[in-house]
Amino acid sequence: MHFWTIAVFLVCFVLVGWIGLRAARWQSGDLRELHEWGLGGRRFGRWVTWFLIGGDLYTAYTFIAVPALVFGAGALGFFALPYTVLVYPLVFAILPRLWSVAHRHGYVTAADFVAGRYGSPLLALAVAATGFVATMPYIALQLVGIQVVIAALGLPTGPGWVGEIPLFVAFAVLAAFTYVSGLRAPAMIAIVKDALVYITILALILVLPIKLGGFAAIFAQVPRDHLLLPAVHGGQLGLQSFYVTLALGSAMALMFYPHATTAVLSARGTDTLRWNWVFLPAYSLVLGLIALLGFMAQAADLSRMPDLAPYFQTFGPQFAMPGLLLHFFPQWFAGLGLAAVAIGALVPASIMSIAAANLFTRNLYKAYLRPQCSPHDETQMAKWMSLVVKLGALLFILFLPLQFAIQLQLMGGILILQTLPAIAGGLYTRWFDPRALLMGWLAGMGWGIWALSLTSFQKSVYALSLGSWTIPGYVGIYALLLNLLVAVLATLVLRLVGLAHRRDITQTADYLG
Amino acid sequence: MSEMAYRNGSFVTMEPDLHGPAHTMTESRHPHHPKRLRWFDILLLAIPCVAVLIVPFYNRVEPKLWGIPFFYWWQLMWVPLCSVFLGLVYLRLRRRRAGS
Repeated sequence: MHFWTIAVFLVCFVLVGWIGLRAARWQSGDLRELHEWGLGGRRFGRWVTWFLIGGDLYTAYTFIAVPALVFGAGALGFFALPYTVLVYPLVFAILPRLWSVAHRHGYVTAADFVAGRYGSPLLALAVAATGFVATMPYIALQLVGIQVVIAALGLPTGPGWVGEIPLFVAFAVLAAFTYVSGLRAPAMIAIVKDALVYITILALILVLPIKLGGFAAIFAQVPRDHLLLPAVHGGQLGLQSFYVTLALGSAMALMFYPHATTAVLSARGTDTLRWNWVFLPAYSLVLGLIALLGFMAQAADLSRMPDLAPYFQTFGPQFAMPGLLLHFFPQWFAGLGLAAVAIGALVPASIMSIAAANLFTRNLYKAYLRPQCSPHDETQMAKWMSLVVKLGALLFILFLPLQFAIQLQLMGGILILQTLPAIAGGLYTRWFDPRALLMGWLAGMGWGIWALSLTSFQKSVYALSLGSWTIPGYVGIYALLLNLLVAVLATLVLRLVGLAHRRDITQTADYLG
Repeated sequence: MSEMAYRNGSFVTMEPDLHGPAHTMTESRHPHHPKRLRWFDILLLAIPCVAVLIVPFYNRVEPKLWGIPFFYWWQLMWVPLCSVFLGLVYLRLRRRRAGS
């Protein structure tokens, strides 16, 4: 037990819970409306959107997993950098169109847009279900992030019910403020979270290289084969092609994760969004620095330290970042840093549960089960659903092996990519036929899951053989290519036989963002 | 003939659009709208993307910067540079909107 660490941590946590509950009154609107509860009234300005998107995309799991990956795998773990460089030019070009058409027609989810664009409830359901399934394990991983922090505080973490109490408390706080305040809560909390994150990372990145004798000394400790990606030889592209496709695929998937859509649609306008994307790479810089922490943990030989070894045995490389905090900093500062990670889990978990609840309510409950429900009923359903989703995530990590959540999250990106032709394609053209898109979606999903099963769901790599070349790549990208191929061919066939339909309630001018 | 369409979360019956669907024509109708990205904007956005996609170019140790291998500082450097390119496109868009 570290008294000051826990004390500082608790103060931060209570502060955040209080802010989350008070957030309901901020820029107040009628929280019985779904676009008020679930999208903050689409009124968030430049600064709030910046904190919200930053808090949304750079999750606690990122802070834990990225240094863990670099610590364990070296250069490959750095793919997070090109990934976050690629994502902003992409969203800058594409997502203002989505905001614009969603604003015009009152869409709350990407599946709403698909339903309107193609007049196909089935395609919309496929898109919504994909988003829902991909989001669930992501929420579970945020709770895993909290679990690692609780362990680092020296508090018990299972097995048995007593050990789970701290996690239940964190969960109750999260559930309460999300239910009461909707998207306004994570938006406000994100501001506190970011202040803590920036302070922690700045301290880590300034202090550690000095203590470890400079970057040259740190990199000298890195094993040669971890320093760079393996060279290409004899037509075997190896990790190089995987690195590129993984970064590109992850960036494209991130755009259309439901929680990203939710944050984007809550902005006041497309100018607000674009201004944000100019400045959001500041977070990527932080992420890059966090990635380097993995090497610092290696240089410091943290996993062999007697006081930290038991943690590394339980959590593996995931303990690299918390370990650095505990080992090199005074107790109170470690508390601050660990609070940053835990609160960094609450913000995205809250947004993700809202996004999943919006999807369920809009695209299943209202579209299929109770089409005539009132706007207030709709919102109440979403609020309940946000609780159900989080409870599901909690049960998930309590009763299933942790490996399950990680594997499902790996699959999540691949699933989301299969909705890209329908959503991103639809933002530019109505050429595709919805049934063809559905066939492409099925093909991409089926092949992607099959390809993952080849590695027993351990790795998201598939080695494609073309003649004498072997091109290992991210399964999601290959599945997407297959998906597109099927969608294009099927649309051509449907058009040739005159069966393609052209239902579309959106208009050209709706897309000018 | 009327069709089912989806608006604001539920399916409603609506009259067909007499002007036909707004598909392949989408772009050509507003070629010079101030909010549209032009080819030069797309080029500016593509530069940081290409810079981090050319792995064989930057997968090397030398030249180092403050002891950091090229592989790492090249990619880190492109984070702020990405901001610069996004900022240029943002300013171009804003100037066009002010001018229209």
